[in-house]
Amino acid sequence: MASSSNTGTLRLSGDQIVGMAGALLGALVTAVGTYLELRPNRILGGDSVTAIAAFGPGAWALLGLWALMFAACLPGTGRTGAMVRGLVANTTMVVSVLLVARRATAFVAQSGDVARASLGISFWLSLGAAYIVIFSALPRAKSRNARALVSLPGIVMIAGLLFTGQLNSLSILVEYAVNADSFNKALVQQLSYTLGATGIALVIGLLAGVGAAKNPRLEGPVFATLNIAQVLPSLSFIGLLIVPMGWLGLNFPALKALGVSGIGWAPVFVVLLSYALYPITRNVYTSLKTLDESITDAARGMGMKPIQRLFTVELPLAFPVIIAGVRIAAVQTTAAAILAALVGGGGLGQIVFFGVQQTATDLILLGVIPIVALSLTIDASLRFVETLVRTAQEGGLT
Amino acid sequence: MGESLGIRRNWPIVSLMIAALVWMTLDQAGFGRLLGFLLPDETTLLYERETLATLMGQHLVLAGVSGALALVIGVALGLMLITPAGASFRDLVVSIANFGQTFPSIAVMALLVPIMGYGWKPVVVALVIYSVLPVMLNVVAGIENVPPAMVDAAQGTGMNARQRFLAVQLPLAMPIILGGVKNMLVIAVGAATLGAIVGAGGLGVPIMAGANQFKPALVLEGAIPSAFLALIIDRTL
Repeated sequence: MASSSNTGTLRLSGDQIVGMAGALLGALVTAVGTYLELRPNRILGGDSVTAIAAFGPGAWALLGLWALMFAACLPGTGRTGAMVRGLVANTTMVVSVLLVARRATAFVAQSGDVARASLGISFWLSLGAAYIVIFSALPRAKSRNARALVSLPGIVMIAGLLFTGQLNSLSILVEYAVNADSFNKALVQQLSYTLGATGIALVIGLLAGVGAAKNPRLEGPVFATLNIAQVLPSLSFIGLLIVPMGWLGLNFPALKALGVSGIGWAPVFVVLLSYALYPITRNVYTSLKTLDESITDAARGMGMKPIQRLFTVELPLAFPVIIAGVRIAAVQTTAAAILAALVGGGGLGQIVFFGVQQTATDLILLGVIPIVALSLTIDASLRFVETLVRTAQEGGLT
Repeated sequence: MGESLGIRRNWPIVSLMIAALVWMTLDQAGFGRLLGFLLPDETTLLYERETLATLMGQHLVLAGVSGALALVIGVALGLMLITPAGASFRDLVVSIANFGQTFPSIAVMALLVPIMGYGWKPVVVALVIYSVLPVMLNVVAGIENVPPAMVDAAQGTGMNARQRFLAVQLPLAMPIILGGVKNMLVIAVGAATLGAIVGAGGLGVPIMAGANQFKPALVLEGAIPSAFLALIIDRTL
């Protein structure tokens, strides 16, 4: 018995294996692959350099940090090891961003204002590797504060560097500086698609979900319709709406005044709304269907009318599941709204497609990164609301 | 899958859709007349540079090749994730999959263009990335869903691990795995429409051409068959 428990402590646990894989990936992409691309101007090809070639001693420091993370995954390091590797991963993210920014500034100062320093695939993979290490540390971080300490500082500090202009010599931010006006407009449009489509889908989804849950005759038609909308390919769906939307715009001056026509925001908005409806309606429906009957019976016993029961008991209890539906819908909508640019509906897709036309990776990234950041922010905040409500409910019920 | 709330297979309607799709593809002139009837003011009714049959062929090849690759890779990765060593990576893979949801598939194609050039390559790679997930996750879910009592019983009859897997776990997991394959094909056929944006051909080509030149008939020429194709796959599998 004693010997078997002894080997047990020496065996690697799952999170340690994952952390080691992340640390090895991080070290690998620091040693090989394009970390930075240094070009004389926007169009010409230039030098693809590894981190070691770009930073010299700085890169060896990075490798040291990855080795430290690897060591913090060794058997027997336990929770301390997890906290250490999580914090070191955050540090590594910030250090590598500082190093590329410094190298980019030096390169532009030396090669002239049109010179460009772009982030290469190895840089992005090293961020991914840091994420894997952080992810491996999370299960061992027991309190909410410990989890925040392991997952947030790196991203917060990088955001700080970004907004204080420390990263402005990187090519992607040069693209931003050149396209600031159209970028800001596109960002607002992208947000409007997400908020508008998800907001209206929440209202309609609540009605449809409650209807389907309370009236079995509605259930089939509601979900059959929503399923068709879900299956239609996005571009085809927009295409199918071009003709009816154009007709609406031509025949109803009020709609025309709103900008409804065959192209532009209207067909895209309808498509996004239809996509958003499915997860919300489904979650409203299933949460109401799976409510604990003893609770609804108790409410009935207290003499509550059906509508009163719905608003004071059932929907509040279903709230976390409904929020989960809203979260899925909002994330999907943010990603799918990129298509708006194809039919003149604006949004960050415009920036992406400009980038594709010019095969300018930095311009494409300037469109893509905010979309991903927006989705992740929405996802994290709604998950947070979900847990808050759930804990509050559990506290209230027990 | 929870995706199929309220869906019943309706074979007469499915057969009708298949017949309509075959007709559109083969009798292009007839399909053009239908579009002319729907949009009487339009003069350009059909995309001139390629026949619909060619575009449909490109579309099916794009979706088919990516689907086949995604099936092989997805099953392999799924099987790796259910081994004891692979199980450590399961949560990570799910988390990366969730991250992938926030990343538009067009963005992946767009980012691959500077590396791989225009054409079918970036599209196949992007389609494979997005189609692997449902297959892989459903392989894992399917195998996990097999009641442990069944596996124990099989062990009791003297089957070894390999026999247990092939004769008990895999067959019982099949419905869920096939659900993943169906989702994968719907995703692949739908996303293949986007291939037109990076020059890979397919049914998205007339949609994009029509949207750029304000010719709604061209848009419908691509949108109707691609919508039918996705619905047929969703309803037959």
